[in-house]
Amino acid sequence: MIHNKTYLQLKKTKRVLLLLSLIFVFVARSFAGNDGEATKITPNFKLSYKIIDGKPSIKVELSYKDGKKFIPVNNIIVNLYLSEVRKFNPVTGEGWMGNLVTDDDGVVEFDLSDNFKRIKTGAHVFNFIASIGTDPKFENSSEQITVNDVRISLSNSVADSLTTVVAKLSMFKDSVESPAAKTEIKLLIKRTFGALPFGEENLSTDENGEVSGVLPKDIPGNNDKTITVAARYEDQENDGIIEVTKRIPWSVPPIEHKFTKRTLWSSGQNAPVPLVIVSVTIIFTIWGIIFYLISLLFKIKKLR
Amino acid sequence: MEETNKHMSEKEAIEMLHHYNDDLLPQKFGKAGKIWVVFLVAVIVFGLYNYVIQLKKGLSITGLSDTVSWGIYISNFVFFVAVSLVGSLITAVLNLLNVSWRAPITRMAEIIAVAGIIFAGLIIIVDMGRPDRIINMFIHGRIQSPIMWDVIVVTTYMTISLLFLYFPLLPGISFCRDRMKNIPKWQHKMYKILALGWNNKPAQYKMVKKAITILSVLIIPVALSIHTVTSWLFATTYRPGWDSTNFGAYFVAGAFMVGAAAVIAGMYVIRHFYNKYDELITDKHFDRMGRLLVLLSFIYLYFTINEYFIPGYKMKGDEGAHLKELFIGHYAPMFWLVQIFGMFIPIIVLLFPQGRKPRSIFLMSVFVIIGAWFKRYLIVIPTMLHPFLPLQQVPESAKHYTATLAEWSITGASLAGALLVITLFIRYFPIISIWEVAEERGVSHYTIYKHLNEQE
Repeated sequence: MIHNKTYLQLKKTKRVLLLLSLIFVFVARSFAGNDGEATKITPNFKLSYKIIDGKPSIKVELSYKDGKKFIPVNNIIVNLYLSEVRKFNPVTGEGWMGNLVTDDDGVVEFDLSDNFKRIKTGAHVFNFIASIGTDPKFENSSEQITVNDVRISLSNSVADSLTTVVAKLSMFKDSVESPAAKTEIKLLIKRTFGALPFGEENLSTDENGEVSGVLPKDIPGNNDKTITVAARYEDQENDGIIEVTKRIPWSVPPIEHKFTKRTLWSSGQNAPVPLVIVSVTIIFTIWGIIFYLISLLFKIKKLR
Repeated sequence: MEETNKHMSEKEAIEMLHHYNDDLLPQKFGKAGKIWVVFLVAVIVFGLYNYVIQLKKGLSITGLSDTVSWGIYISNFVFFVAVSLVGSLITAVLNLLNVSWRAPITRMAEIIAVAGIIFAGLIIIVDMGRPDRIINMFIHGRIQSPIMWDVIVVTTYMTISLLFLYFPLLPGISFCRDRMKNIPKWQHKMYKILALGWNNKPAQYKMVKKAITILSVLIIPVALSIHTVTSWLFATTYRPGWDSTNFGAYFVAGAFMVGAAAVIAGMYVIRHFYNKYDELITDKHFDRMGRLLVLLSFIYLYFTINEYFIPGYKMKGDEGAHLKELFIGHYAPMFWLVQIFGMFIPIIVLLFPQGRKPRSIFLMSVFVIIGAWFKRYLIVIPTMLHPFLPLQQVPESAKHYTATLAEWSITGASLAGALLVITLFIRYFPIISIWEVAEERGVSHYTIYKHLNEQE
């Protein structure tokens, strides 16, 4: 009898525990469900690449749309992978290349100069994948970009006091390097804050993959009697720029802008004369009196 | 007035000197004084700790940005410059005008001026992200730049203020040297060095008086320059709120007002903690200073109306947007509190004789001082947030300015530093220049020191 009663009590306790467990699971699930239902934003990726003098970099711009505005996604970690999303493979050089945090403009720029040297695949087309990790506001998402192994070589020659610059473009087809014909290349002279195009407009490579341009004779060069020329290929399809620069001997010196007028906006040495006279007079008068007063202190000391 | 400037006979003067006797010497602090010093040191240490972090990490630890590149450090700088102007007002102007009740409060004014200008110079260095580059100001300085003018004028005013404090202090230091016996060796040595062998010779007095006269004349244009040049730092910049021809006079008027309030506050504190000083700093002094403060407040009110009423009448473009922000916008509560508590209420209260009683005038002075600090905040920050070029494509953080804890602590440390300089001065030097007080009452310095140095 007692045994039976205990059995019934246990059974009742079990039922209560089961009911409580069910309630707990339901509550937990409903909370989890609420979290899961929170809509996350899918950010927009904009990927572009640059290879300047063989140094590649990939720029990732992240934003999201809020009404009609694009808002930069700042302070979020962006991972970069080569070929596939996986750990770095030291054998092939593929996988995870690194990560960076977006700045206030939602931009990160991966400098791949060192990483690229580790790639041992022998491939000439590279697929890079940029992805963001787990974030409470943004959906896990990724975007990829294709970087082609395009090669440009620059050479120059002088004839009849004219300097001609020749750029040769080659691409890989079935792992074989061949000249790229009928491709647009820009020839440029590098300046401090930009580049000046030279040669004919809309230059396209010939069947040897070459374009040439004659440097203007009077263009000023660098301080070290050189001029920096560049050849640029713009990969429109993959939003990339490949550029090669070369410094070549040049005799036209840079123009020195010496602003020697005495104005309020000149350097200290070129201050307006009246201002210098007035200020120096005031300073010397006042400090002269101050030094006289200090000399009085010495006189007071001597009087003891 | 009669009580403070009546002429004494030699007998009365000797009696007065004997009556005060050692009370005129600096005294050890009591419990309240020690707590006050510990509090100030704690504030300074916390500020220094944050400044070391700022030196390591740069101005990124502050709320400053490309938009608001001048924050509370600069408003604090302007405040210090303003307060320091009081030295010229009380000591020089009243001296030249031969105002007969000024002697007991001149030293208080001078030490406030010195403390103010020292910390004005220091806080401007704090505002520099790379203080080690200050040397470039002197190597590559441009005399065309108002910043260069400010460096020159701050250095000059600091030197003049120190001299203005030191010359009249010489007899007082010698008094400490000769009369204070149970003091540490270093303190005695300090008095000995600083007294410059002063032994009350008439020729020494003659030189001190000559120096005071020269300094009284010299300090006025320099003092006016320092605050005018400070105002030009703003007025030469084409920005809403700063593009004003009224700024020089406006700044000088405001500086005189807050400086006078600072002296009144100092007078009250001194009188509160040193019992016999209420015989020297009398209710009449508070009344006179109250009248002066109300006059200066009216002048400041006049310039304030000029500064805001005309642009407010026109409300043109960005200037209008800036004024709207001050009058009814984000900064309206601060703006109106500053006007009401920092100017209107003190003017009304001080117009009445009851309002010029020590306690109420002290309260009004505190209002004026606090109001003056926030007034400088209102001059600097809202204008920085309203550049003529619209704020486009800038991060949201660049559209606002909130001073960080580091900034507040460093600013607090500078204020505590200035107060500590004044406090330590009172601890080690006579805060009332008795020879000037006696001379003010027609007693010769010979009589004063003949009896001042004799033991009762």
